Amino acid sequence: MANDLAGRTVLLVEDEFLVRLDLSWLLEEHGATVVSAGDLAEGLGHADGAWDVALLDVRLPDGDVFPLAEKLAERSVPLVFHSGHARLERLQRRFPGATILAKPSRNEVLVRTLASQAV
Amino acid sequence: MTKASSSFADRLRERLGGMDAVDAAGRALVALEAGRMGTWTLDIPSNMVTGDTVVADLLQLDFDDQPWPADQVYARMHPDDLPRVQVEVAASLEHDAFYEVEFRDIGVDLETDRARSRWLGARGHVTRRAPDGTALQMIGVNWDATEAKEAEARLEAMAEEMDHRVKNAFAAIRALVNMGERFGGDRASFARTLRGQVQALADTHAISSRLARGVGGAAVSVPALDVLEAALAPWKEGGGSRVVLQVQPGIVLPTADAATLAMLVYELAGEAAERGALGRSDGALRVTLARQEARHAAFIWEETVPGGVAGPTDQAPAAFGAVLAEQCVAALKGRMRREHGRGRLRFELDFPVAPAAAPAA
Repeated sequence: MANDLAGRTVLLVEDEFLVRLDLSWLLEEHGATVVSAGDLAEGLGHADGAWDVALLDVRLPDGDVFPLAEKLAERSVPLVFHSGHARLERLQRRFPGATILAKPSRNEVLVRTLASQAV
Repeated sequence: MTKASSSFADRLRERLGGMDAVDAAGRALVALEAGRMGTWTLDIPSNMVTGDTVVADLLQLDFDDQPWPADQVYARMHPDDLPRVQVEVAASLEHDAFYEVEFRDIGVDLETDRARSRWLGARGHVTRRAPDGTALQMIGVNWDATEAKEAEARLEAMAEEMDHRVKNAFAAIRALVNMGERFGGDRASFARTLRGQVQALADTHAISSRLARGVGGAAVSVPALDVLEAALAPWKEGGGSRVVLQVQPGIVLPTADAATLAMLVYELAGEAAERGALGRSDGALRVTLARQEARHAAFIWEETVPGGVAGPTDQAPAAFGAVLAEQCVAALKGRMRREHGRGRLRFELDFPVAPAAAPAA
């Protein structure tokens, strides 16, 4: 259980720094290597990385995460949205293959979901 | 059909029965004016429309050139909304139900060629039918629904924003609890930090909601002074000159940074109340925030306690509060310096801020 994400690299985009910190610690504790970004611009800088899975907040201070999500989807990086966004059905339509987690989600659910999505 | 159409006649008789025509028309006019509505009549066999000045103005039709072909009226409606309008009209003719719809106009002032976009409300009812039930005439009203539509959109945006904030607040609390578990220290200091942080979340939320109401939307920036005043309020009340707060006017932070600064300051204050200047009657605290250069500000927190300050080195390493403070500094992209000893604790943070707004001309 503790090493569910061993050897995986995760891109984490989340603007709330406390939540970003918490999530990256959580994923690291489960063996992942995490690179995190706090806004869209920073996230786009990591768009070409070799990610096993991306955990993305939707609303960021400099815009919605979609441009980054699209770039990642083009490269078949599995997407997990972690969002308090009210319009989830719109998100699902735009990224049919993505997994959507409500925010906040339980630790086990987050880890399990990321582990099952990671390629 | 005939039964339904007679029910409209019944209602007419019920409400206006025995009233002479002028009084009935007067009553209708007062109702129209009170509702700021215009009225129209659709003659179904000829498919022609007549209307009053309000309808002519709302739909940009020539009042003096009546009746208007129904297609001319439809041409004044937004093409995306027109099919909906036509479906509603047809349903009302067939089922004798109230015709009720909202639609946008064409978005252009035909006289000046300038953009002019309005939402119009419409309601109507078949008022005459042939004995076989065929609809012959429909009478309806129109009104300007733009303001109501805008209010509705604002309300929806606000509800969405609130929902988002509440979920974020829960996520932040969850993160704090997880963090406390990782970097515990003793139970009392864990509880103290958590309490302070929940208070910081609540106060920052209160400040940004107050500002948002002021601007009629989501506030994007928060004066640093508001955050610091709220953080120190419990100790400033009746505290005399023990607590001094000096903030250079005009330092405004993006909401996220304001929340982070609040977290840092509430942690410092909680610590000071437990072990430092705020927990003792002879302690003094001086907090200043001032611009250093155009894009930097210095935040200085200075406690003096005659007997000495118990500094952070007395705590277990990496205790919750200390880790939190460090992370706040990192999130603000700032640099901190912490010195303590000989009855004095000084915490200094240098962090980037937006340049001062140019004074209004």
